[in-house]
Amino acid sequence: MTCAFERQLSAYIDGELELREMARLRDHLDACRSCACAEAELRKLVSAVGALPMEAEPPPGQFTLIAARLDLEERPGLSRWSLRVSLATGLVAAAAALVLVVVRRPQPRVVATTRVAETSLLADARHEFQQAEEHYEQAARTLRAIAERDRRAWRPELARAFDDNLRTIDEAIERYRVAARKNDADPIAMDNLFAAYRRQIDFLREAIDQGAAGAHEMDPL
Amino acid sequence: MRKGWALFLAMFVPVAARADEQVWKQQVAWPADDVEHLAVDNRLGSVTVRGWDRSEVQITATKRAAPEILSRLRVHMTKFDDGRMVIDTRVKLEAGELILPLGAGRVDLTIDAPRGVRLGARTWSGDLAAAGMRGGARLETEAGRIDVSDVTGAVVARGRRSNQHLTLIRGDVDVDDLEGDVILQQITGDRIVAHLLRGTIRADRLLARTISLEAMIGRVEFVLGENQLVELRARARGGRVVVGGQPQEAGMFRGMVGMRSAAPASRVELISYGGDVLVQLVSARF
Repeated sequence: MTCAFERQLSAYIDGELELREMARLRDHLDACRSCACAEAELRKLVSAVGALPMEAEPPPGQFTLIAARLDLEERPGLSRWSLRVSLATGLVAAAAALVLVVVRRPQPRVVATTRVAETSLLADARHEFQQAEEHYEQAARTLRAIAERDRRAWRPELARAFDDNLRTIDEAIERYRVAARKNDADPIAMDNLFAAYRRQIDFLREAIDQGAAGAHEMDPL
Repeated sequence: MRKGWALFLAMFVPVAARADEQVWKQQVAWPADDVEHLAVDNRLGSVTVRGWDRSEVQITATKRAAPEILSRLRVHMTKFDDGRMVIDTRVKLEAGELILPLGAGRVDLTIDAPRGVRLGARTWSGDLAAAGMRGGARLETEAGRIDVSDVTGAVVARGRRSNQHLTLIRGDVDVDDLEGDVILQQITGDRIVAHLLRGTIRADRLLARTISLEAMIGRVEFVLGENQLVELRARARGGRVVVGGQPQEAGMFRGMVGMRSAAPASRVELISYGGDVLVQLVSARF
């Protein structure tokens, strides 16, 4: 039988629960034999993980891969609990094999799933940032193409000012891009980069408007 | 200067959810007599702000995620001495709590706030709605929908891939979007500006000294109300300019349009580079 409290055990042992939830779960452990056994097992797993050598860390990407598997539907006949334990077992076995360390039993679950979830969340945010960046770049490319087509009709001083300003903006974007790459998934670095893209897009749009207004002898409002 | 207290909405009430996710919901209210500026930053879901006549801010937060992620989603409220109240959502990681967008978890915020506060709100892909405010609003989203209605004061709306609908605004309006449709209805101000890279701008019943609407690759539709006179300048590089059903030569129009009235004429500029500009003259339609 699966108990509703089981899914909180990991956070409980990691000390991540709020005080009130901790107390509630502690009371429950006194009364529920199944959860008490699971908790004892979990604590053993955690201490086993602590004994693993640091070099046992899987290569980059491995956690994300396993996180993706964790997101899959539960296997028939396996409870959520046993599914997690089996996946975590696989993870630790792989990690241990990397440094030829044999760990017979038990296998860690808590630390692995915590790190898996964290890696997965960061990958998720990174994906969102990447999509946004691609969209800004695509918009800027579209406007550049329009500006390039139009500039033949622009006044020479407008074309010169356009080139100078655009070069400066491009350099700023490159600096922000380098900073964003260094601080992977850092929301502030990404905000700065997106703000720079917006400035570039505004500039391109204004230049196109001014050029067109000049060609039609109309002042922009 | 931080006033020394912040709210962490941790004790939520579980409600029904899909099999693979949990939903937790909580409502908290705080006094807001001295709050002048309400700033909301929620990259994890939607934000709905409704103006009310009580001098308190009430936050209703709904978190949705798989159990292992749910506990990482946090809602914070911080009040500063300078009259600012900041509400934001964060993701708890080993390195600390970060304001991040996520596809794997969601936090939706509904906030009731005193009408007079100045509102600033931001989302990532969640929808953004503001209604009944009297201190203006600045709304930004990357890929959500923006809905603003019944707002007094300047409204600034920024989107990257969003549809925007602004209606019943009494104040200046400045709209910018890269991709999506923009609908502007019943707006009265001094200056109304909308820029869109790709999509359609529809404007209906706009009254302002200056109106400038531009859809670079898209269409601009402008409905001129009864008893409204405008000094119109319209350009469509790749499409047609049609004024009152009449296509204009060279995709351009410049002149006075509408009916004489006591109100001063608006200066209206409508621009499209890759689509049509349509001006409808509708009389007795209100």
